[in-house]
Amino acid sequence: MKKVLFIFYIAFLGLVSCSDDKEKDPVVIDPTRPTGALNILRSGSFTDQNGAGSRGMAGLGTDTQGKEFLRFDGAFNTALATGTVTVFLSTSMEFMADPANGNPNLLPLGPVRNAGENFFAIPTGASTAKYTHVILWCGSVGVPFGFAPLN
Amino acid sequence: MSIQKNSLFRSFWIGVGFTLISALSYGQSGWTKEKGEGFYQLSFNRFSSSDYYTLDGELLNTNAFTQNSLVFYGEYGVTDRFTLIANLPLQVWNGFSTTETVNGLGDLRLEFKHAILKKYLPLAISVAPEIPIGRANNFAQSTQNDFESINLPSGDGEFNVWTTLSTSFALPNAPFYGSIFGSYNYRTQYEDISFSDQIALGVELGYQIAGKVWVNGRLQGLSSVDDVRVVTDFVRGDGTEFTSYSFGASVPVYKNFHLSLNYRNYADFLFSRKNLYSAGTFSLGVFYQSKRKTNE
Repeated sequence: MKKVLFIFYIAFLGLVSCSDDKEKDPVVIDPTRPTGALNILRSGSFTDQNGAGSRGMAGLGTDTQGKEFLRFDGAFNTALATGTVTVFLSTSMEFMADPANGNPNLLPLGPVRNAGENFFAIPTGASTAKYTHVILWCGSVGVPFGFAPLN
Repeated sequence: MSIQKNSLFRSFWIGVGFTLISALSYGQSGWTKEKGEGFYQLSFNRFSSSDYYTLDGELLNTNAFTQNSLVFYGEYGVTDRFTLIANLPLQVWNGFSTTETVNGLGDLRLEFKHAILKKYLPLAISVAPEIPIGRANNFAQSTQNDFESINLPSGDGEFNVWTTLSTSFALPNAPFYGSIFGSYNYRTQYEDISFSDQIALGVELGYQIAGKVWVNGRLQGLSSVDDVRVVTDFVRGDGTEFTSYSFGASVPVYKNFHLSLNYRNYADFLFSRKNLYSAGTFSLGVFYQSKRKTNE
């Protein structure tokens, strides 16, 4: 019986010592930013609408992991002080909402909060092939602030 | 002659091009109160519009913006030549059809009015600082989703000063008067955003019917000194321009208490509408006038 307990004790020490192995720094993956370089495949410059001061470029591409992102470059700006501006991929330069049918012409990517470089992860499983434009939309008021073609 | 006020959309861009309660929305005259005389009014104003004019003057159809306000306005004759005036939106309610309604105190406008001439041609100059005590940021949450909101402040957060020169006349044998004024609004900045100064012009005519009911009509214009091309902040009225017209009436209801009604709307014939929500504003008010007792 003592031998059995001794064996268990040694095994326990072995486990504890294993858990004390030097842990490697965890690899943090930020799903909101591309991994590695972003290979831009389609891009275009923003056209301002309604005096919002929209400018900069939007580009759609994939990172080194094959994940798709929309990128606004460092020159990006729009009217951000008043209300939430939401970014959409769209099948045209006009915002064509059709909520009753699931908004087939729009893919919401989320709000943009800051000027300068921004990344928006394309939702997993979504295809961007049919979308030809990026739209900046102020939903509270219901007006566009700008659009950029994806050429 | 009652002095009434309306709400003015002076910001937003959306400009919403939003709207705030503006000092320009009430009349200006060349008269000052006699010493000890007073005029005190509480009014409720309602405005709702989905017609927004951009900085380029383009008309946009947006979600409906609604502003209601409860405003105190008072005049007091400190001396026969000096009148102290205060305008304070006690509460302003703002909201879009797609958002919740948010409310808050507005900015306090104090006006120091001095009669340069009183007898034959009433001529007055006034200096009116607007003190930003209202809520300069007030975010209304979208009712459509949980990530959108919009800033609908009840005050513009900016210190500015209106300087006004006004003159009036009254017919000796008829209850008819007229006033004309010109104003310059020196604007400063809010959080490093500078605003363009503004110029305002206005004319008012009034007539008393049957010795009881005063009716008036006003025409006013507001123009921006600088050519504002890009909206730096939609909700604070930078670059806002318009022509407005209004019609009002007041009737005595009990002793020195009067009921006032006013309707105001916007047009383009003096200055075209820019950075402005345009629609009619309805106002209902009660005012009290204290007169100096005479020995007559």
